[in-house]
Amino acid sequence: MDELDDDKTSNLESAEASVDQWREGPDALVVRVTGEVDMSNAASVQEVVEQATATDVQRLIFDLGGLEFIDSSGLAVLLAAAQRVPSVQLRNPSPIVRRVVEVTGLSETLPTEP
Amino acid sequence: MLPLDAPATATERDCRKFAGVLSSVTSARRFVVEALGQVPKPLLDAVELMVSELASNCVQHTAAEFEVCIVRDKRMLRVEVTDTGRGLPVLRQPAAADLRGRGLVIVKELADEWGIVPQAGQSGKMVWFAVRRQ
Repeated sequence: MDELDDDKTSNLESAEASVDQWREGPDALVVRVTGEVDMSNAASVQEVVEQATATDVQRLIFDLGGLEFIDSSGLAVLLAAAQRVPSVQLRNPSPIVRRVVEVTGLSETLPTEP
Repeated sequence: MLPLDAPATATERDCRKFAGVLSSVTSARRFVVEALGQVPKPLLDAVELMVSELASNCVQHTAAEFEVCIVRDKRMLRVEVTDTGRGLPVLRQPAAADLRGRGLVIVKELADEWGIVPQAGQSGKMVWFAVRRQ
């Protein structure tokens, strides 16, 4: 896993997230984001997700089962991926993540896996 | 006799100031979650998210110090985020393709009430939201 921490030197309170990935089935890439994503670490998470999806990916699944917190800066990371990859789905989003995706009108762009 | 809308109990108020840096978004969330530890998780999750959005707006747009106040009684929780930056936040209607601009949309949708109060006679504003406790 890549440990992400934007602000190692001065502040222990920055959000921390980890990203790992694996292939699933014939064409899907699963990217699992665990921990917390807010504006303090969204840029790092974005970078790692971009690297993970730099190869030819047709179907991307974000596994959010271990995600403890995400705000709109984290949602922007998922949205950016949805603009590069033809199909993006969310796996195991928490109730609050589902609610936010719904109220921000992103249910079609970031649908939850059936 | 008390009016019907009088607080059922004494109102508590906790405030903390944060530097206008990115890690303060995380610190502000932690402050509110720790102060509201006994609140049921669905409500706490929503409050934490709204605090994150308002703190992010402060850090992104002003880079100046901001203050977070939690006001609560038996019936409601109110959070006020005040900064000294110029300009007022704008409620946008971002398209699905827009990566940003959803902070206040989230506050509007998750809060029972919210508002923006320009600071009289000086730059800065207070953005607040309130949720009913079940």
